[in-house]
Amino acid sequence: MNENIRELTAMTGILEACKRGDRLAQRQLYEHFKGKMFVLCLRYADNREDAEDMLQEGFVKVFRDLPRYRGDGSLEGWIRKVILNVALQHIKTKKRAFSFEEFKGYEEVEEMADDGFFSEELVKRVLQLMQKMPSGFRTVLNLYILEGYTHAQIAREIGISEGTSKSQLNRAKKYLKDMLDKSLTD
Amino acid sequence: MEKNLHEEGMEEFLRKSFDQYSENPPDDLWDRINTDLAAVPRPALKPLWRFGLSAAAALLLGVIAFQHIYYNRQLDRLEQGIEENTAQLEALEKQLILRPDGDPADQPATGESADVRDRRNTYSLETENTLSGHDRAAVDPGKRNENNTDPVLKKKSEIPALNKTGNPVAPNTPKTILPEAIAEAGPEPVKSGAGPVKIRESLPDRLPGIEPAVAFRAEPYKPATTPVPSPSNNRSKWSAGLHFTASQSVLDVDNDFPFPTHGGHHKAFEDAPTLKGVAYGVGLGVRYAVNKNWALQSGLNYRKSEYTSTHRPFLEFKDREPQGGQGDYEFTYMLKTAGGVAEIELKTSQANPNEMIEEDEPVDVEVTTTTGLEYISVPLTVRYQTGYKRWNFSVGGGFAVNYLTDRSLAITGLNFLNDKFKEAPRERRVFDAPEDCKPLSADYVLSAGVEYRLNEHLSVGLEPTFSGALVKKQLAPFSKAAEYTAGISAGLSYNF
Repeated sequence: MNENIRELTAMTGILEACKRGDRLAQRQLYEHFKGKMFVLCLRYADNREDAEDMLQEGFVKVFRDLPRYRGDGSLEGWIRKVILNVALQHIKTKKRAFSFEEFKGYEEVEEMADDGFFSEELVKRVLQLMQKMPSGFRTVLNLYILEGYTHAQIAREIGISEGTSKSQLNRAKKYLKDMLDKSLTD
Repeated sequence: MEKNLHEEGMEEFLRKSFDQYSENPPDDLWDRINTDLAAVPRPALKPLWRFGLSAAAALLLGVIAFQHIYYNRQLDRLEQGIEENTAQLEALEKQLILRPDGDPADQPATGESADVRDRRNTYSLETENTLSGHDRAAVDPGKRNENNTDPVLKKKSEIPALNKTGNPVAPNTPKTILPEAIAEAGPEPVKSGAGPVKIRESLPDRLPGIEPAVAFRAEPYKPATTPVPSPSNNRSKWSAGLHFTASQSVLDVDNDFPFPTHGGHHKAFEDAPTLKGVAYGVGLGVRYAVNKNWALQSGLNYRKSEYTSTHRPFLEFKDREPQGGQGDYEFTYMLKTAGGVAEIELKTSQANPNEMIEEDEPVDVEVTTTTGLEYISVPLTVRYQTGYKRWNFSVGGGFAVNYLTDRSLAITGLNFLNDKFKEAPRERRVFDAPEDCKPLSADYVLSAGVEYRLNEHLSVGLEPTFSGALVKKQLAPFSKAAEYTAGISAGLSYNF
């Protein structure tokens, strides 16, 4: 309990310093959340470079907008929301976003199969598979399953119909499962 | 894990996996964030411009209100003077008083009997249509005055004194007489009861039996107050001019760039979102005076703005191209600017070619860029103007539609903070900003100016002008900018 209070007090102090523009405090905040937020970006990006760009822009926006954070919800939730918005903005502005083009061949996925894995390896494998998906599929899958959006919310967020959101989710899940099965049996 | 994947279902598997999973980004990412944060502008600029805009608007309204009130009072005074004068004239017209002396018309006519003279001196003529009794019988119905009103003869003692509105007043109340009338009356002695008004005109026809009857009519109306002269009175409605404007300007950029995915995976940096610069322009203007105080103004202007900013890209020696080159290197990165995303190529060379440089050695360079924007604009403003002698003062406000004709970005300065590197002796490149933007935008314009008439046709003027973005300019597909300028315009006008 005391540790929680100490941690909360320390985080509050960091937060206030971040709002004042203290670069050391901003670095501390970044170090605290960078791992989880990078995974968030990896889930929406085509590749690691794009994910790095998203994270970079996302944290710049976090520090710029931090004075607007009133502590209504958790800080992690707020940062996640800011970075998610940046990621979605990246996707929207890409030319091929939401084109739902055909999948690439299974050959590329097969190349990624290797022997032996454990939980972390599996997640990495899933991330790699997700990055191979069309961005529309990947976005719907992420928003619905991992962010908890409804199909109506997804439709509003990325400008598609609810029916499209549902069908893309099913196709994305089937694709991901097939690829994982294939990867696991190799 | 495979068992979990199939038993728990895809959704649950993904949720649990990613909830616990964490992966660190590359170590240099914080440096990139740090660089971006260094380019964040001071937040005090926006309120300053808002304050400036509010002050200019308040000043404009204040001047208009002052002028409105001032001239309304002037008008009220004039109208009051007119009313008073009119009332006095009406009163005088009603006081048709016979004067026996002084006017030749009043001298006894040949053969005029003493009785007639007596009656002429005893009676006064009124233009009321109220003849009665023997007086009416004495008037020839065919000999009526010009106004077709029946003259009425009354004994002077029967005529009540009238006030300036023509109503009867108490006998002891002094009569109100126009000063001009007093002046005209001169030193001539005044007969009792007639007042000092000189007889100007007699009735066209003498009335039978009471000739020579004389009627009074007032002087044509002359306003007591001279109208306020205005230099605008002599002007024609149209004028045209040529002007030159120099301004300080601020470009407030609202970037929404995606990080570029083309051109490989060069590092990307963002230019400062608020740029300061200078703007200058020339233009032709046409003004149409709707009335003495209000005018419409339009024209065609050309304006060029130049904004200079400095950024510090986080580059390391390993970012050089080509890899492994000796002596001269080229560093390429993407810069998100007000004019779009530009690919910057920095030509550098090693200060000491024999020195070994570590791959992660920061290049540490300050790059100064100049963004150029050129517009053609058409303003439409409403102006309120007033003047004194040769001077004319005006305030105006309105809108301008701008068409972006050109953009450019150039590296205008390199400052290597790491002395291991220096600028390569090559020509600096000018980069074209991307196309595909919407070039139309709109500004509001506020100005206050002074103009001096050199002669009948030519005027010179100075006009402080402020303009701000009504609609943000889209300078690139992912970049919008609000531009604010405050400057002074000097011009020469020809009044047709």
